[in-house]
Amino acid sequence: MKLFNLRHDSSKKLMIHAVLISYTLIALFPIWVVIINSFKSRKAIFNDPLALPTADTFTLIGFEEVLLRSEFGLFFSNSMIVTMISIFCVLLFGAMIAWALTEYKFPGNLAISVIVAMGIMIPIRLGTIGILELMSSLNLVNTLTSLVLVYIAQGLPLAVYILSEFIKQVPKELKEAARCDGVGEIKIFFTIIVPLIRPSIATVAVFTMIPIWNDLWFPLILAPSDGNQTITLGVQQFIGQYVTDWNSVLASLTLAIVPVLILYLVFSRQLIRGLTSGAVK
Amino acid sequence: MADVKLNNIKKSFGNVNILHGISLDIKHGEFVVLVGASGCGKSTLLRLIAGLEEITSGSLEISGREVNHIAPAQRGIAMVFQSYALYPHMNVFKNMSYGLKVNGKGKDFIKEKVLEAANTLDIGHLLERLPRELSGGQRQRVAIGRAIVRDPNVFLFDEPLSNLDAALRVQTRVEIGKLHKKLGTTIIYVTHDQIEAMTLGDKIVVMNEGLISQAGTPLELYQHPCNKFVAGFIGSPKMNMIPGKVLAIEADHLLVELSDKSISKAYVETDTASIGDNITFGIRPEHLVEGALQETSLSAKVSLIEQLGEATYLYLTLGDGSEIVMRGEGESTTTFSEQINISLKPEHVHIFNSEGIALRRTRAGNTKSPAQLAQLKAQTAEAAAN
Repeated sequence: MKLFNLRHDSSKKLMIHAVLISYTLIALFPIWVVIINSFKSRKAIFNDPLALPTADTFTLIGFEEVLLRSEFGLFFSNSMIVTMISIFCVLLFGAMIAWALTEYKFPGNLAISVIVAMGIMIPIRLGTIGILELMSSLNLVNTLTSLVLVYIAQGLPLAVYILSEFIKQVPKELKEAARCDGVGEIKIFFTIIVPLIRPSIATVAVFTMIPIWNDLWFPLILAPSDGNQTITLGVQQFIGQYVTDWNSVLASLTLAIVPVLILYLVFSRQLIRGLTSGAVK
Repeated sequence: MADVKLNNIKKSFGNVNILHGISLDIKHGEFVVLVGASGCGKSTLLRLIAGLEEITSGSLEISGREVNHIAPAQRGIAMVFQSYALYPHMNVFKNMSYGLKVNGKGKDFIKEKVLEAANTLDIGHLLERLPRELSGGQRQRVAIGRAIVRDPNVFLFDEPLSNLDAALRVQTRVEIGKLHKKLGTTIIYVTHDQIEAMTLGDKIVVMNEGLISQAGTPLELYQHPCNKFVAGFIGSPKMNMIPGKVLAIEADHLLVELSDKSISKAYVETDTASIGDNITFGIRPEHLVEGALQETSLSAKVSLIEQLGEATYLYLTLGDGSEIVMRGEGESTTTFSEQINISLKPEHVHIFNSEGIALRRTRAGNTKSPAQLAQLKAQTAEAAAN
């Protein structure tokens, strides 16, 4: 019986892994193609898109083009600024809202919860025209501020939703012990709650970061002018109506992966489970 | 000093009334144990005293000042939680010092305080560790340490031993008792364990369904339980309760007939009794002996034997089917399903009327606590010296 179970278990495991590995391959395949082709000459890209760069076909022309002869640095820093500020605000305000909604009873609590839930269900792009009108009347069109504001609105609902769940799991006694110790409510939030939900904050950061970094829609609509373009928009300049500079497009896409990867590595180090163990038995 | 005065305190959550009016005086330095079955409101009462829940009505005074609407930190209390509630991301030193730090105490002062408390509790070598690296007993001490450093007027303990294993529980219980003698502060301690209550408390408050059933010294509760609930709660195994009837009323005792038709005397106050009353006859397992050696004897059949070494618990069935327990000799040779005689002294009998209220025993033993006895001895010594 035990043997049977063991075999059953391992075949089930095999199945799960097969599914996950094939999904990973499918998901990584386009990225793989982008990266290998960014190191190939234009001709080689079209002759055999799936081949690895060889001594003959290897070239860094795309990277040269991007780094030396375009405003890549500016696009890159625009994207960084927008992403970092948005993540910071989403995490800070998201955690604060989540704490307020779960910890305190106040009039309007339910209404705010409902609005937050609606924010998860309704895609923010449906409101594009309204947002554009609002931004233009605030004189914020063609600024990075407009992007930051939109991205905060876009990221907050899910952040609040996820963080509330984790904040609810923080044992009640910890807050009570802190209150008995004379710790103020704001201090309780920053010194007790935030450190304890750090893994979930990292999760939310990753979830929030990727759509912002990859977004083309709002930069195109709200901040398309030179000087305020983000990387995804900046890349578009290599894509022409008649000629597309594929080397540059692929090179800049490859470079754009790097910061996301670094941020992901930073945050994923925080994704450690069991931080609360030892708090209460 | 740090007297705690509860005046008709009520608490309800929505429509559910948890506490129905609790009045209690706790003197400075007293070790008061709140005890009762789960759901009786004892933990709620403690949380009200701590300020973690709002009092619905009534007044709470600590050191002569009403604190109903004062934040926990300003009440001069420190609470030790059942789950310890140590901050998991801070080491032991930080856990103990955090409260002092946020209240703006100086670094040297904090260090001195924490080290002093750590030495008292023997956790000086653990200061750098995180809570998850500590055993249950050590966590418990850290939690107590965190309370001590704040120099509270009143310590509140919420079932602090219930997460420890049996051996550690006894050890920590003794340590808490000693700590109380050393610190001399008021302690309010919640437990559902009557042994903890009996061993630690200067005063035990037995609670039942949101009301105080009885408050008194451990022996007072043991010797004079005021009703059937307290009688059943204090003492282990529980007091045997046998239904009966009043046969006759004499000057200093009652004559009662038990449900198995045996007859016994009972030395209790007789004023409120009348012949024919339905009563409950209570006798503690440790006051029954095997054989017809004592004044009242009963005949019973053994249905289960538990040998503990120091004693043998015999589970017996009386003639009419009533089940009782007795604590026999450790070397008892009684065997299963044997018919035996057991007997008891009428001085040890408790009588409860049809409402479950006790008729006060007239020949009970000592009810004074060690502290009261020490005081008495000192007085007699003084009188003798004069």
